[in-house]
Amino acid sequence: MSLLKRKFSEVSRSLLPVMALVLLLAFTLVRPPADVIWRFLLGSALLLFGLSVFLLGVDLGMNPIGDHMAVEVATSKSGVKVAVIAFLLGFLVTVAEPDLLILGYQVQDASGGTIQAQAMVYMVSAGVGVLIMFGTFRLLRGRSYPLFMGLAYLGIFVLSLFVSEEFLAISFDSSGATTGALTTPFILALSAGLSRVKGGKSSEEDSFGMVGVMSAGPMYALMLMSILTGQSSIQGEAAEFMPQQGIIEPLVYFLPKEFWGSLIALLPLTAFFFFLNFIHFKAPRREIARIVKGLIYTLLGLTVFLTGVYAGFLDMGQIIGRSIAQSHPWLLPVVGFFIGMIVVLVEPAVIVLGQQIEETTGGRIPGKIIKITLSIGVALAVMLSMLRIMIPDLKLWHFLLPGFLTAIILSFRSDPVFVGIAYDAGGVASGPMTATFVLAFAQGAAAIVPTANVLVDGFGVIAMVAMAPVLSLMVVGAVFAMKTKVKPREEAPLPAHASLPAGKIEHYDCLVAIVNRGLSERAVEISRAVGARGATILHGRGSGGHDMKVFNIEIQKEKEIIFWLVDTRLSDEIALALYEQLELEGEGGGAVFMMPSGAMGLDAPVTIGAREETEQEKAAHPKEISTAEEMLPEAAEETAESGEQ
Amino acid sequence: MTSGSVHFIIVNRGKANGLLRRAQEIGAKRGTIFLGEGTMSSRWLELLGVNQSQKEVLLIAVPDEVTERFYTMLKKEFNLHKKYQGIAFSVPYRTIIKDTDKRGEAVQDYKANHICLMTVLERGLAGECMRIARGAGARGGTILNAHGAGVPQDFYFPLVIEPQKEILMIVAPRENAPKIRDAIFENMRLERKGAGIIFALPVTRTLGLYEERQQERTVSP
Repeated sequence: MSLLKRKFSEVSRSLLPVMALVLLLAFTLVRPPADVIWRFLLGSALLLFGLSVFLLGVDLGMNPIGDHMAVEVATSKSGVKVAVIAFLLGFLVTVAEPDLLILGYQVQDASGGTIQAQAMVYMVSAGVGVLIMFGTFRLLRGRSYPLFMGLAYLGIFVLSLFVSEEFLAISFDSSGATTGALTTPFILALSAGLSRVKGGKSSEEDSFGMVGVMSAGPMYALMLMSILTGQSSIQGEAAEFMPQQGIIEPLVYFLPKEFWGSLIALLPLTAFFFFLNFIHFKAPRREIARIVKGLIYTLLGLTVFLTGVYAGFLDMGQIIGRSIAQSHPWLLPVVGFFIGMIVVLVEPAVIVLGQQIEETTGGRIPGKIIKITLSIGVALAVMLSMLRIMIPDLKLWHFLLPGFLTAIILSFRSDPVFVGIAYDAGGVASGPMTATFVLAFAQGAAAIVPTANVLVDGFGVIAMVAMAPVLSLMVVGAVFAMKTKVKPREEAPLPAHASLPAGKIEHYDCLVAIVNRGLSERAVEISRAVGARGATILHGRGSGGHDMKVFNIEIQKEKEIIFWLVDTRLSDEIALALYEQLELEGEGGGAVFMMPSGAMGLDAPVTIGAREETEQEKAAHPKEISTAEEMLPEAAEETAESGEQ
Repeated sequence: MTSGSVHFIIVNRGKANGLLRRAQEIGAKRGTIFLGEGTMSSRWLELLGVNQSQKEVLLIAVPDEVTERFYTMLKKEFNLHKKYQGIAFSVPYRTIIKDTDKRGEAVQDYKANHICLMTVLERGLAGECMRIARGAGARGGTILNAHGAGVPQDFYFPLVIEPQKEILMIVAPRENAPKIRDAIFENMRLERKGAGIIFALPVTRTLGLYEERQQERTVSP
């Protein structure tokens, strides 16, 4: 199955429920005009195609760029350079986001011109830049993530005391606008890249969380602006709702608009990448060609996707909101629940996050669990938002404050991988689908409900969607942590170096150890102590009887698979040391075995890269064994660099 | 000493869990799954940059007495003998021999009709390597993402850099293997320090390889 086909089926699986729900409503409760229904169907087709191509583009283009940038940042020799590049990345990826400018103009109008749209865009981008910078230092220094985020949100709580409710809502909304379709996948890739470069035990949990860090930036920026300019209240109403006419015309209107918007959003980051590539990393031409292809897919996919969403979903959302508010107001929370539940799964960033979680955890945390939890969170968020629209006494902070407080407290008890994913989920869930369809639905309802304020209540929806998944994922993470508690193990002293009989190496074994997650470092240490050289490590998942279930989905233990190529005469010693020290016996412990290599009657012994011995190694080893180093260049290099022996 | 065969089964993403469950039902104890990428040789897919497919690799040991049943199951329930459904192959293994004197006997000659060539390369080079292997007669390969053991580095941050690697797994008939191996060795210039290593594993049994399907096609019209 090709990559594109796979994306296609993945997107259609999340899109079909949305179409089913909307069409069900359209033929029972709502009765929208025929052209809106046709446009919705056409929009869905565009969405399916556009999103599939976009996701492919993210794989081919954005992820490698994120990787390269991460290596560039992490391998800097000066702290200033790290700070500058990290800041620039955050700034550039945000500053051209079209949604942010639109929000800027809304705020400019609503504040009567005190806050300029352009100034707001720069402030917000700078806010993101600063937070990405801090986040990068946090990650590379290995400081506690829950603590970092706890402090970041504490700061937001303190600032929120000084701003009005309207501004609080707008601040959260701006954070939703910055974590758009383009920025989120890039920041996800960057953070995955950083953690891969950093490596070590925490590399898995460090792969996530940067989107969460970045979404705090705009909130700081806007609240500070509100406090500094003394602008605390906003007036005005949202623009009068005018459904587009016709089936094709709106598409023709949106297509070039979205194309320019996407192009401009992509440009700064791409330019920065090619600049750095030109002066520094100089990636091979084939890879650059791949990245360029990826970027073209990203641009085309995003354009088609956004056109489909704006032309097909915006009016439909408004009409559903309005007619249900008119005919059956009590149904609003129920409809909101279902809309929230399924629409979030079509968010581009949600699909990207799901993939990345499976890749990073080797499939241990199935993407399904994250999606189900996200769905529940967003469903509740939209439902509560509807209640808030209907009951004026319910304020936004009644939900936000306890929600975030609980999430922060839980974050210290939760499975570390989930903490990052949870904070990311807020930004990930509030993407273009929420900003159009769900927001339109809420605004449509608010326009009819007499006590509601379209502007404030509309903005509040995004704040809720940004909060609820953080909480729901934190809860699941805490459940995970309780079920997978591992007792700390004592480290025995390393075994002694094995003595090797004289003579040349005749045969190699491919030694394989399968151990529980986190033990590979120790395994490599042990093998080195006995006499093995470099190892290659894979991440996987395995089952050994005691599988746990969450939402009835089987969770397998995460495993690390380590390959060594060792002298047959040594392999048993190493295997034995691993077996005893890592306590591999018993169910779910692990395994170690050997496969014969290079001695299976090929016409010549298996060829392995040969190389010059270093002086150090010549001194350290008897002459006979020098073939071992010749034959294991990679291994020898690592040892030489790490200065051992 | 225990010995037997460990089976590698490469299937499309999402299928490995079901396979593992079925294998456990017929007697396998445990298996390990890791993610990989398949490579397809289609010129225009390559031009579009979409010539990869996501795969899962299941590594599983099955008691000797149920090996036949296991392979029948792979064929009947998972259609591995058909095109695009995946492949399976078996590599002999042994466990630890504690008695030092008997270790010499460990080297056995296996009746291997196929060879599994494992090439460990820098991340990003496996695609290129596959192209070369294909030029030398290989049919397909699976790429696994891996990393080397950590090397402490002195950047601004005290990091332990884990060199990112890719493993390319190619199963080829025994008579083709040396040619492919030499082509990879020369063209990827593995003689350079740290460029990568290549080693071979004997394969005693295969299912679903391209050659087999070719054969089947010629036998049954």
